[in-house]
Amino acid sequence: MDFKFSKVITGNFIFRKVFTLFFFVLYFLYIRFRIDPSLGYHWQEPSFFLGSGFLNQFLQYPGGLIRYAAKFISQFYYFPWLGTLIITITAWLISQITLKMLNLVVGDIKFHILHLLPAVLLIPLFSLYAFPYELVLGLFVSLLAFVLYAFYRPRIMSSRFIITLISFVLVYYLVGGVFFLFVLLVVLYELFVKKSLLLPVFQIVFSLLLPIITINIFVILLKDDVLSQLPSFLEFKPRIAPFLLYGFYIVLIPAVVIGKVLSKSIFEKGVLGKVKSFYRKTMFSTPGYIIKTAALLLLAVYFSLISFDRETKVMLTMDNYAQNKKWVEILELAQKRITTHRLVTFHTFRALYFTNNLSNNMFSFPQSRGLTSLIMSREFAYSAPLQCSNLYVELGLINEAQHWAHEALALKKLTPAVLQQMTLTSMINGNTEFAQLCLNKLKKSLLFKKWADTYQIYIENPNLFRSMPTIRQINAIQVTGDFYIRDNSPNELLELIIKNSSNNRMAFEYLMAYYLLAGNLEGIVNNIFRLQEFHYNYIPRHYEEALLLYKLKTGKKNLDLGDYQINTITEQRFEDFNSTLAKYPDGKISAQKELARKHGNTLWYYAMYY
Amino acid sequence: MKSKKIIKVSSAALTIFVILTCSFNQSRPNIKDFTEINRLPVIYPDYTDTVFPPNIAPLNFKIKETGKQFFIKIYSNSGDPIEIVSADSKVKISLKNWKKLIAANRGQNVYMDIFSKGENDTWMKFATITNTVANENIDEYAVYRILNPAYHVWSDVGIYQRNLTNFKESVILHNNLLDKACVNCHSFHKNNPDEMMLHLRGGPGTALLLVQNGFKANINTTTDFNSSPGAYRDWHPDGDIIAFSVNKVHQFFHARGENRDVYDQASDIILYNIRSNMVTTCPQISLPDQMETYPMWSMDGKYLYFCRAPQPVTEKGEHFPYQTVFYELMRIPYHVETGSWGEIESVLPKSKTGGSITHPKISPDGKYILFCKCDYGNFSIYRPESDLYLLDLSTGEFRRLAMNSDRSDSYHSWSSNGRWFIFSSKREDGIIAKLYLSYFDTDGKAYKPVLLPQKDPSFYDTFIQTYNVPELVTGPVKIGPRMLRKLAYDRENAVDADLDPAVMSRDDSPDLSMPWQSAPN
Repeated sequence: MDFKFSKVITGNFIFRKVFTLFFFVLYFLYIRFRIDPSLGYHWQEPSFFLGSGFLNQFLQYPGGLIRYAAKFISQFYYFPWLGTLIITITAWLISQITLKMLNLVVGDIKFHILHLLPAVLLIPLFSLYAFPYELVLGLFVSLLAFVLYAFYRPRIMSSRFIITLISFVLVYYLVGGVFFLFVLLVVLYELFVKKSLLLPVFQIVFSLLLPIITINIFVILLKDDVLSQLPSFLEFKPRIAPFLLYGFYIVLIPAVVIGKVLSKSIFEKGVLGKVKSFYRKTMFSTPGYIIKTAALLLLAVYFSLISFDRETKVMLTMDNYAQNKKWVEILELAQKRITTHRLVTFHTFRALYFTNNLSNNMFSFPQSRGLTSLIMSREFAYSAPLQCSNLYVELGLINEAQHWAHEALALKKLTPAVLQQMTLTSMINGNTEFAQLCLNKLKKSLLFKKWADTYQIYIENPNLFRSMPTIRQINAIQVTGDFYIRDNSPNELLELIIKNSSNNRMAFEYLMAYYLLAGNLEGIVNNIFRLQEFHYNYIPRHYEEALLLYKLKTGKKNLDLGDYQINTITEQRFEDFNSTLAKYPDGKISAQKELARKHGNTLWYYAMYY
Repeated sequence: MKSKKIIKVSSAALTIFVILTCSFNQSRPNIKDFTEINRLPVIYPDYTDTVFPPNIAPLNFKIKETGKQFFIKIYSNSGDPIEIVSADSKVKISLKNWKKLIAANRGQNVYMDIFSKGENDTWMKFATITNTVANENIDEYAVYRILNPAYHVWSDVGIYQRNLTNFKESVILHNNLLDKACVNCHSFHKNNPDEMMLHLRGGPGTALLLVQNGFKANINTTTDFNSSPGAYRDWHPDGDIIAFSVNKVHQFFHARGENRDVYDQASDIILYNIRSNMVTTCPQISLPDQMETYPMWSMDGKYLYFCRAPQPVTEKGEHFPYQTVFYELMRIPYHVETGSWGEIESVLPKSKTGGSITHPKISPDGKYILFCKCDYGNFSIYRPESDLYLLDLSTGEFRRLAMNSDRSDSYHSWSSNGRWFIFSSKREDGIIAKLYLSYFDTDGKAYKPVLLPQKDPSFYDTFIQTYNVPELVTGPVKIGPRMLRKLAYDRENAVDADLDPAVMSRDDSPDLSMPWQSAPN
């Protein structure tokens, strides 16, 4: 070994270990606090059930087993710390297997931090909440298979063919489409490192034939078979992220081998020789390591900055809060106005209602998408069927809640959350037989067995179930009469709910909110008599604003408000709104700033500017 | 040295074998004393007092009684009894022993004694379960569709065939091969697996896939007369003509009770001639003020039976009066050689049934019509009150079959010998339809049905998908999923059916929309 190459390496051994530890601690903290894998769980809802029936589904096609294993592992994303640990260990394992690869391919060269590069390239993948764990697990297994292949490569040619046949079939069946990465690595290894020609040709042909053979065995399409296990179809930031990761491994072997050859030939003498010598002295010295380390960290920072999806994180966090009925936290997050995603607005309405703010403070929150987010249209509900189902439970329309729980089954497949919702809605509807079926399935999940056991007690003791405060509340407002559900007309639907249930204050407030958002002042006026029915002590602020606006628009001075009166403060505010507007002869555009400051949380402002 | 190694390895292997054998095959317990319990044990599926086919797969079941061990003895007048010891309450019967026992006892009773061992190691014996082996076989295969309980969105939909003599199930066509298209309404000519048709919607396009003794076709059955493709269907006995209903379907949801409901806004009947690739109809079966559906040929092919209801007249914006739509059973003479029609006549009017008739299916001997009756409408699978009724064509009398449940009992199909029918029933939970086989004797009596047996007795405990459109066929469907996929995507050779020049085209906007849609990716 020439010059001080290995000594420098040895001298930096401790630094390397410390740096690796430091790197993965940072990695861990980033994933835990910036990404939060439990939100990934919330998005994907990976379902895993014990029993041969569930396993059998995954034995029916290549790549099924890796999916099965990934579902088992990724269900633990449910616990944020455990999920973070899983992701960090996965990144570490991939870096370690990369190190092994490097050692196998170019045994005599030591790399300082190159093996950490894939962990950095994984950041954009793990930052995507929709990123399925199976893709990275498939990558790891493919790399591991390659390392095992290279390590145990037989000396006898005929054995190599046999090993090829066996390993290719096994790896293909195990990982599906990622198998082609394994094939590429094996072929490149044979070509560049082992200088073999016949075997790689055979391997290429066999690898192309294999999927064609298997599609006649499994009822699966080639495109699903090959592409489903590759991450290219997901919307990564940057889009190129997975290609960089896969490209790294594909380029690695030829680059290192060609580099070695060039190093020993044209980079040996003359100017190029000097360049090589300078490069080595610089890059394989302490400053060189610092530069490379800094570059790696900078790349990691760059990827974490561009790949982080703040809006989706807020949306998922809010959805998670909604699932756990953390209404105050939802409103706190909504106040930050990070996103106008319809689901965020949808949950904000629910939170406003459950904190008694809907009719008084609705316009303190962004309402640019309010009208289309209050009650989900069918198209909107397809993207959030369980959330839609939850709203209908709260509105006492259990049939529709059950309907959307079943749509969720078709859209999201058999996830624990879907099973829980189907159980709940069936039990409220009195169909304990179907609830039992759902519970039987849930009992086979690791994380929700306890929940299922609790509900089993409820099935066996219906009175206990009915006496739960939430169920009592739902039953008290449940729709009792049948009607034809019109999901394309929220006001008609809400009116029918009010008519066919008693004390359904939520339906009333939602109906009024709909009229406010739709600018249907007549609707507000026509339903104001219901305040008494729902035992209001006063006219809520936004309704007062609507009544004043109605009076102004229609010129009607006296409205029948029963025992209620419009608060004088509201009247004063309305006067101030109008006088502020009048100050600006150019009209509403120039008045907007001042009106927003003084009256931005009113119906009047919403009616004028939305 | 080498031989010692061999001996060591062999001994180890033998030991493992013995351990495994002992752990898996529990020996027959020595039950000398037991307490008799004067009631039947609770088992699932409820295989008690049933009549089952002599060629059916073992009726595996679960014992829903407490006990730390169970001993089951299955026996009859002839043959060796089957003895099973079960520690987990699951009873899995050996296929070979089962076949031997029931083959030797056609027309005889088969008994099951169930003993359970209590916590204090004492044995109890329940009253003996009796079932009867019928004399007549059931057709060997059932073809059915499996899907999630359908609301608006479908995702995984597949048509499967099950060998009823064992537990083998295979895919005929699954929509994962068809860009998530809906595959539905498979049908066979005279229970013949080589003459099959099915529909596609979405994915490669709306089409009728037809396979008939080697002939394969991808057909668009919409014409200038019918903007909707053929839906409910029945093959004429001669095999060349298929009668279809063409329906405009609407789905909606109820706020209380069964939440799904479907009605037809319009429907007619057409005939599709396979040889001439021509669609025809006649005014009597396509009246604008009537909705005709569920066509069915008489066994001699001389009559076309169908269901018909007056088309409600609604003003714009008015709700469709779905609860006032009642289908009656009609028939019309048809002359296959000339293609001429006779006068339409009422077979079973609403005044007699008090409800609405759907899915009429004539028995292979031509004596009976098995149909569904519900309170209104024509979508019996969504109507909890739907029951199976039998019309005796010789007397015109009809009656509700005793084997019905208080939940939807619907779609049914006869076996080729007429001694069995299969049907789907939601009797267990009101949402998931399962398949039942019922024996039908020569006197027109239908017996307590047998739930389609599964290899794993716990199968139904966690199976949250629904079975529908069961059809019995005499053998396996040989065409495979790949071939059907190829046919579905073969747009070049797809054919548009011609409209009979004698039939007036209708000024009707094309309507391929359906209330169900594929799940977005």
